[in-house]
Amino acid sequence: MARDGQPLNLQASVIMTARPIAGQPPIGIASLGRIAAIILIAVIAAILMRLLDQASAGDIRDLIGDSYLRRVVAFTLMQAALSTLLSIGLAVPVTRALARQSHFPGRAVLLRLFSLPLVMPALVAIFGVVAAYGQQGWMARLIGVEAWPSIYGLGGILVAHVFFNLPLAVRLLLPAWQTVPAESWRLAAQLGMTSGHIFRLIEGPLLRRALPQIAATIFMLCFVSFAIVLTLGGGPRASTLEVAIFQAIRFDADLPRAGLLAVLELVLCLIAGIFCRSLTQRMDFAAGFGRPGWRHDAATRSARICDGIWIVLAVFFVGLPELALLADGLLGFTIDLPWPAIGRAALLGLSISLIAGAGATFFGFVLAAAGHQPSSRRAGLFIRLMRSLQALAGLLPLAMSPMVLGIGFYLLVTDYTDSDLWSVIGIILLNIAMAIPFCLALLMPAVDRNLQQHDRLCRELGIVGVNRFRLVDWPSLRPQIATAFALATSLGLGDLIGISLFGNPDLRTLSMLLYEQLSAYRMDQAAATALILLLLVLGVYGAIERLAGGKQ
Amino acid sequence: MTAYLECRALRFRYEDMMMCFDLAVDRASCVAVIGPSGAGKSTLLALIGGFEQADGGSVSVDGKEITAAPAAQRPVTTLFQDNNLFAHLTASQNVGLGLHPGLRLTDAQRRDVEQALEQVGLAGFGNRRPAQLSGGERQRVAVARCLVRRRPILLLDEPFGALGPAMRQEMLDLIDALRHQHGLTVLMVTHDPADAARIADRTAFVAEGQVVLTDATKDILHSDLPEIRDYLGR
Repeated sequence: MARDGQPLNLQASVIMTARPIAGQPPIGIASLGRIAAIILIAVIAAILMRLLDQASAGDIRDLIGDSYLRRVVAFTLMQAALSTLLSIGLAVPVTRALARQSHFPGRAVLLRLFSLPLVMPALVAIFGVVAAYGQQGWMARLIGVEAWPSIYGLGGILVAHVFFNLPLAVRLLLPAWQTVPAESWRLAAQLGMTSGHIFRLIEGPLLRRALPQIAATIFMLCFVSFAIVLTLGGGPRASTLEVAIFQAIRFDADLPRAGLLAVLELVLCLIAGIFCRSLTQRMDFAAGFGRPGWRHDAATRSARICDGIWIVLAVFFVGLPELALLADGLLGFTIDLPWPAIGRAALLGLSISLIAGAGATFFGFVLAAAGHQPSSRRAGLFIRLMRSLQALAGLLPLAMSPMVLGIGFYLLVTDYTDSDLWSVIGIILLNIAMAIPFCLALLMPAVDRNLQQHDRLCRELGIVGVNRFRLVDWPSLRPQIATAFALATSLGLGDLIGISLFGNPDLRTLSMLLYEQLSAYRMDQAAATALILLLLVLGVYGAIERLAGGKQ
Repeated sequence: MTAYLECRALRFRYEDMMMCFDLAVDRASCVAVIGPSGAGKSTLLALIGGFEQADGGSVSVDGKEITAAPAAQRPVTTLFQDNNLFAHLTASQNVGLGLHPGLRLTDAQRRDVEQALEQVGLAGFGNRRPAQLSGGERQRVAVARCLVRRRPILLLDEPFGALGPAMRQEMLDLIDALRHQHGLTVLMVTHDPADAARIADRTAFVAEGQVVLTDATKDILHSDLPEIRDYLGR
């Protein structure tokens, strides 16, 4: 899923990211930012060159005449479209129910349940989905049907994508309902609108504005989905471009073909990305103040029953894999587990992701801080050029799919060496690159706000450089920096692309271990590993937010 | 003789403040409601408008109790301070909602809408959206909707608080003219004693969740009651 498996709402905000406002950055950070932008652009350029070089060794006519490839491209688009349709189609009534019933006992717990998939590594979620909805899963046992359909194939991919993206869509849609001013609901009551009128006159226009962006976001996520398709695809009939690239390089060792596929994916991704951006519309809803909108149609019997059904269904669908994860995971501890291997894998994953997390946070911060330059009218050509490069640098890793980025790093590193140390460095660099857009999306608004509040005062008092960072920027940005660090680290913990490209039997993280157990159908071991990985991600996330963020 | 609009021991708990309102308003009069922030002025209007449910007591209009009636079925219409219009609908559509909550209008109703816009001085503005209107024009559209709803009681919740002084006076005069023309009973929450002095026959002073005193506006504004003097800063 997202950058294999992670806070999808962040990815969403990256795709929907806003332009920064103008201001004056602290001087030291501005030059650091410039250097960071140059490094990032140089690396991306090197990857592009290397990919094109590799692709030129292959014959493009092979691709065009390749019926397997045509099937793969068609399947990639189809599964992404179906996943989007299902997620959105379910998210609308569920969100409407949650928005309308704004006060009921357990609502907060329920939203928490919904936010768990957003931080879950893809492989952990895959285990949950298989344990809940697989042939030997809870659902099959609960209902007791003999011929329960297999979870492997298109069905399983869709279920896993909806498990991830239904909560994401609800999370992104709920704020849209909150933008309806309290007065609008009062007006609806005063004018005697029925639920039908409200849907047509208030909620309909709201959805028409909010949905295209959310749908585009989910489509892009499913388009580049890797771990889910690799694990649940179950063969060549259900394969996507990301998986095809991986197989070309890892199983067939066919580098020219992998290069061609990567270029193809890059082009498709760019087209899809540009199309998604063009859907971005201005919302002209008036902003309402805090108070959750009281609705006169919320208390009617039919509204309660209808909303209740949707909420219960959604809770069941999302909750069952979570429950299965916990219960099967605890049960998994009673069997003999390869503890030394688990310990080594956890330690390696943790070291890699902490370093990568710190690196991504650093890049994210300096790029965000340097994104603010004096007004362009007075700036010279060089500054203006730098500015557009910096704006571009943060978004570049996103325009390339994770697998394309991964294969680029893989080719660059293995050109020179295949030592374990360099493999680890390769994984770290890849994870840094993949996490930068998220860090940037998190830090940019905070840096904006900080500048607006403190910049003039700092300049008047002459607080610059290290002093400014120590006295002003760090104290006020600390919570956001910690969140970016925690997020980037947990992204790294869930990474499958880097470890499956660079890894070997001696070089395994928990995600890799889990992937191996899942593909060997050792579900009892996988259950324990999945729970350990989930707890590790949640624990590290919480610990970093507390320790680095200075929260109690 | 009993009053036209009457609140009797109308109770409402907001956090740890217990409010209890008694108020009587005569038919076709204009009563201003003044008092410190957080005293419960807007809550009083929300209780009469049907947006909050009272914990006890009663509201009646023309001798008929409406305490539990749904907002849409009360003989009142409320004008809020902002967000009176749906931003994605045109001025005509926003007014038309007052005639049918699903916007299915007959030709006669469409003419009603045009006429109401004319009365508030916005003839020809029907196709504009709220974003293309000034703050004062938006409130005029909302007033036009109040007119087409033909409810005898108009509740104003600081509707002109965001407007400049000249625009504010113009709007007050418009309300006053419409009131006389249509025989409306008006209850207006305001922060500015000058608003009350301009169009209200009587004024109710609200403090700490109670109507402390209702009297002729000029008597309230010159009252020797300590709370009122403190509030007015005299």
